[in-house]
Amino acid sequence: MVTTDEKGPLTAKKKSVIIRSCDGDEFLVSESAAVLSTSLKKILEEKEDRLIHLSDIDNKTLAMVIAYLSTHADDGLSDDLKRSFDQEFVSGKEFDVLKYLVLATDTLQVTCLCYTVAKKMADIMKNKLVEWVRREFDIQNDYTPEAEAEIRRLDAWAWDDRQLEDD
Amino acid sequence: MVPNSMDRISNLPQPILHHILSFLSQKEAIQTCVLSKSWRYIGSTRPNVEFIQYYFNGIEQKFMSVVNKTLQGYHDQKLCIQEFRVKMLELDSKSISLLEKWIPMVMLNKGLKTFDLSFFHSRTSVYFDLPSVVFEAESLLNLNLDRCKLNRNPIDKVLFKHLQTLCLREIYITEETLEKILSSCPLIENFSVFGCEGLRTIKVNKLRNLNYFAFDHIYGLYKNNDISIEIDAPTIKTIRIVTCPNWLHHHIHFPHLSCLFLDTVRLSSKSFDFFSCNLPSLEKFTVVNCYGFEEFHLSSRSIKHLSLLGIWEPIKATIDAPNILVFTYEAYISTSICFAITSREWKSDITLSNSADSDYNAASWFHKLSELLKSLSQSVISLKLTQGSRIFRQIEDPPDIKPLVIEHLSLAGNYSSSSFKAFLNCLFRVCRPRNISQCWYLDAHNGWKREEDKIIEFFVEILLIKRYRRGLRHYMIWLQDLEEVSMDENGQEWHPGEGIKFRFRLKWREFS
Repeated sequence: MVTTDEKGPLTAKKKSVIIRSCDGDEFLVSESAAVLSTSLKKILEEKEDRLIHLSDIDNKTLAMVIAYLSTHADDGLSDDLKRSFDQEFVSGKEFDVLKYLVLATDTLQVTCLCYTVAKKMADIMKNKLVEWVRREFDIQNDYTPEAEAEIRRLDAWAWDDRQLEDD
Repeated sequence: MVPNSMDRISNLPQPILHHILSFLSQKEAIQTCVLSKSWRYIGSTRPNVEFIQYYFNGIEQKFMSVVNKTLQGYHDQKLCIQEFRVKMLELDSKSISLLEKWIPMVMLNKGLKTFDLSFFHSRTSVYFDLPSVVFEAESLLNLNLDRCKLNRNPIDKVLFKHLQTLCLREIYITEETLEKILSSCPLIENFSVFGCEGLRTIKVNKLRNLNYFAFDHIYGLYKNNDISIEIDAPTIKTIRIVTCPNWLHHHIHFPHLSCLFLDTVRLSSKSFDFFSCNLPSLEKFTVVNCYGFEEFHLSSRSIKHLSLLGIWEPIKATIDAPNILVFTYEAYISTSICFAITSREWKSDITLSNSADSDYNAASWFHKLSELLKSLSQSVISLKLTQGSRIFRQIEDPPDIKPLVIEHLSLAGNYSSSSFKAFLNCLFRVCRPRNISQCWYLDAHNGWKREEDKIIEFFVEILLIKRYRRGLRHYMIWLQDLEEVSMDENGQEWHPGEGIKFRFRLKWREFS
């Protein structure tokens, strides 16, 4: 709750903040959108400054996060519309884009978006073989074949290929 | 030096990798341990654990040792378990003794948020006496219990200060215990009860944050079928009630309720008066197999989706829903419905099915169908008939009614070609569809396939080839009004989904 504003609640409603990305781009964001990020909310509660500099989020990622925050701050949109916006938001995005988004939403503490993005990243990995994941993400297998076989042996149950039929 | 720090994923911080892996199954998470050395302990230390006995090919020993080893590992390394889910094959003395060992270990986690216990096979008379330590897990947000006995009298302490979701499935609980639990969980948002023994009345009236309530009594499983539900929760948005004879809602106002689903619930005309007056935000209203009323009046400015499904007896319905978008009606008979004037465009999906009763009067059936379609003439109508055509063999005099143009006609069921002509003659007196498609429930194995092919052939013959033959035109008088016919097959430019093979598009002559 922003109640400490000196000018009273009427002007507090429409206030905006400027958020600057690490590469210097500035974004004008309504306060109601900004406070959906727990970190931004804390910063705004603590200091008068209306300019927030984010040293580890680039302009492209920040623009996406802000688009998300503004949509979710819009009271005119129904919950259903917001949900479908979320699905659209992550669909078709490259894994690397999602990676920067998950880092940014983690830093900014935008819990809902962080959840959606992490889930999308998991969906990409779901039902894939280890070899696929390694290839897709350029993970270099630095185990010796013996070491890898030993790990597989230790958790042999996880390598049985029985699939769940229902559920 | 970390050799693979430059790859596309491994350099994410561990909490984020844990978060991503939390959406995978336990098995998939464990498999990530072999990706590379930096992944060795990520999947095996994520804060959620989930064990599904089914994966272990019925080898109980293996299942037991994996769960034991995992829980011991988390305990020894002081790793936090935030979510614990276990789904066992069945509840017997063996699984009970395992659960009695595991649950206290899990409950040592001071940050446990989710506890989810379920079984693949239920329907035994055995219940698991849930250890009281579960009720002391102060950090719990979600509690999902299956086949548990909660009649410790009294439960010493219930400390669910933060609990948001409570789902009780086939549990044994007394009214006092339920009340005690609910009164200790002020923050519950979702509350579901699926089958329960020991309850006659479920009172949900102390939950000031309740958003969703679901009840399903699972008839046939429990003796106390005369159960009552009382809900008084001003914040509630969704109510789903299945098989409950008594929903006691006298004079309670639900200002935010937007979705109401009632299946096999006893209702009266007064219930609908109540829905009209006390649910100002209701948008989606579904009534399935409900009974106890012959007529009703429903008036709502907020309703957008209204579904009346499983109507067994004739009813008389008067509906004033000016903002409706979709009306869905599925019945065994066509019945009397009256819609007040609506302004915007809306759709009605009508499905009629009727087994051929021996004393069934086909002429009267068509008459009623005509009345029903007329009452919905403000909407774009899709009509689906699933009763087959056999009963129409004896019709001689088709009803003399001015036909109504409808958007779509879908035929599903057993239409024998011998009675099909008579059937269409009557049907096209009542309505003229712009599209006809067939939708068959059954596959090639059970004998309807041949009939199905015959009907397609019949349509092709009548509509596309022979329709200009004079004899036929005389026999099927509606052919005179048909100006153009074209046919789409599923899979070319038209993709209606499975089960539908073809569609005829019909252009009818304008008739005054």
